[in-house]
Amino acid sequence: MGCRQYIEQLCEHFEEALSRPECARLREHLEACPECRAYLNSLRETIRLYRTLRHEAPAELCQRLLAILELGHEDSAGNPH
Amino acid sequence: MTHTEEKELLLRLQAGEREAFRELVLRYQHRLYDLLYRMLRNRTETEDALQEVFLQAYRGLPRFDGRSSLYTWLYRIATNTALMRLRRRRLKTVSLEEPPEGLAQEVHTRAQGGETPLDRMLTTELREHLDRWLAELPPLTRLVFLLRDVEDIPIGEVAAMTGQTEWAAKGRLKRARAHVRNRLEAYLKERT
Repeated sequence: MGCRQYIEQLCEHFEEALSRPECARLREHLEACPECRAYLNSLRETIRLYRTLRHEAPAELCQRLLAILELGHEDSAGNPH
Repeated sequence: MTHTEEKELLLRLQAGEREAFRELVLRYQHRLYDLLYRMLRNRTETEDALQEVFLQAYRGLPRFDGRSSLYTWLYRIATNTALMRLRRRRLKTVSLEEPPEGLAQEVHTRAQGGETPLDRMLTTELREHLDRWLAELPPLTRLVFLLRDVEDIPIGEVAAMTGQTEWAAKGRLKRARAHVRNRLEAYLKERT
């Protein structure tokens, strides 16, 4: 198997590839191949960026949501003020 | 949220406790907003969609049988809402996608975890690129990536949520990962 196929396997299994029994050859290959290790690291980095960068709901939207659902004017016990 | 906490919340929700629904909104609003925005790429539509998701959840709670987890159920509603809106948009052949947010709009982002040198490079430009690279993918492929890799939902659940086989979902995930990784690599090479 060449690097191309190993990279396909990496994209399919990603972190799970490091523990799946059927990925034993991939793990061996990763130890020996700096290019494929770099690929794995850049894949990790890409996913980390997507996880780190979140779009946050604006505060006024939350207030509006709670108001629509008539949940905005209660104390923690659920009693209307 | 632990399994026990989720079960407790579900019991309170099904008992009609209003404070429990408020907790549900507060707990999931940002994550669902992020998912919907990355699918719809339009703030006004995302806000409408989020409202629709919580209203559907509110009305659907009495019929929720608890066979799936609460978050799976909520994400399934969000997923259907996003796909339905994109389908409607395609029928109208109108693009509602907004211009890059950094050019005209305030960016609502939430950084999680420790800051690395790469985090410091996270400019508005890079944020917009990340979203745009994702938007280059077909909606279902984008959705699989967001649910599995961003929201960390097991691939079997992602497949069930999006109405496809696990094999098909894995294929889409593989393509999405390769695409966004390649785009980021090319972008970083260009900059150095």
